[in-house]
Amino acid sequence: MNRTFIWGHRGAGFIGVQNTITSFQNAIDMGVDGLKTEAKLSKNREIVLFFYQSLKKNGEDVLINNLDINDIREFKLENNESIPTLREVFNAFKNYDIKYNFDISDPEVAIRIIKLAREFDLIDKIEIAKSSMNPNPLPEIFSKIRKFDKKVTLVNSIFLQHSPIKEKHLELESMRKLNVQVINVNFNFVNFELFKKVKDKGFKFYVWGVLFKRSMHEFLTMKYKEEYIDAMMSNLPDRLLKMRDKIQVFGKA
Amino acid sequence: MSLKCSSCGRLIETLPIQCGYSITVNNETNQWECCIENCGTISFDEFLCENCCTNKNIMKINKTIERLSVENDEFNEELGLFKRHIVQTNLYNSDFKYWVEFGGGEFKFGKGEVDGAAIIVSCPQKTMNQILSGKLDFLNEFFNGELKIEGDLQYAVVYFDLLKLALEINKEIGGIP
Repeated sequence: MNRTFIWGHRGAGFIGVQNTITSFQNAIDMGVDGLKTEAKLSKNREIVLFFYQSLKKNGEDVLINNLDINDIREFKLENNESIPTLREVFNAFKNYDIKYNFDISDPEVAIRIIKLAREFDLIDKIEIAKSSMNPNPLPEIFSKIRKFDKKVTLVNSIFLQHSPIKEKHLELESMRKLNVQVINVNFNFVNFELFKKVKDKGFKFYVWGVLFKRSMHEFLTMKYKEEYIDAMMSNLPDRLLKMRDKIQVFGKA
Repeated sequence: MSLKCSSCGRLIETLPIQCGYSITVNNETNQWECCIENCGTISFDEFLCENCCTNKNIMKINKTIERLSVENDEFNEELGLFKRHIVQTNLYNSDFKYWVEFGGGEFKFGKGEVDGAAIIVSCPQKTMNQILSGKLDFLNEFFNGELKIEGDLQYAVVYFDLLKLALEINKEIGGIP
């Protein structure tokens, strides 16, 4: 039997400052199986890990992709750390056996992530996810990426507005054509029927946004054909890990 | 005879259908009896227009959540996990504003505006009332543009998730909605 894989969302997103080296380290120390974060591209094509599209510079909002990496690194977060680059993160955690899941909104970002992952010999450790805020159909995001890499794991995070699921919003046909392996759903819209449907279609099933004890318990105990939900993402990963280790006693993530 | 709202003073020209169907005069107490939005029996001079009645209902739901934050261990524990944040809500078609402070194990609220809000929520009164009544989902309303959020989007999502949790717990314990 499997165990639910636990992703630390933005590291340990609600403990300290999210998407920082400290937050990622914190999540790893808690025992997460992987780090889930958002990747953006600087003007000079360096990948940085940051949720927002823009930064405040001289009181004005400036898009990340209009800023050079030096300008981005000058910006200090609440804990006085700089926004990390992907290279920095791969270097910092190269001795840990963890996976990475990147939210992207532009295929170029994904292709650059893949190139860097190959350089670090981490291609089997990365997943590329369409952001749940992105309304574009899957082929617009994933076609170029799949052409570039035939194997990398691709994740379809269902566009939030469509989350009260109708089958067409799952884009199953596109998922099959593009070999997108995973469906990722906000916890508010998860139920057993959806889990069963996704598994019957042969895809992995992820749940994101899980914070509260009752939903953690509900999803960690949900089973279909003796299999638990494949993965869950939380900004409070320590809580989720402790509960998983109590509930899912057998197996390995 | 004209009927005025006891809160805003405006003349009540029409009554909501559900109100019109359920108003009766109690001859013994000489009171109007109304069941709009759980008001129960209210006297003639305490009548509210639909607008003020909905605002009152929104504040009543917040009061219920505030009470749960103190009395319900589960909700209190969940509130304790998050840093304190202030949410300012502006209901633009009823010109009504209120604030909520949540986190650190507490949930407080009040009418009007406060400084230091990390999140500003704007939407029509009806939308907020329906979200708080569990009839609409905030994410859908956000994505279809009915509900606008400025500031910390991540904590705005936590705020609405907490509201949803509070309503779920309240329903389970048979509390007054």
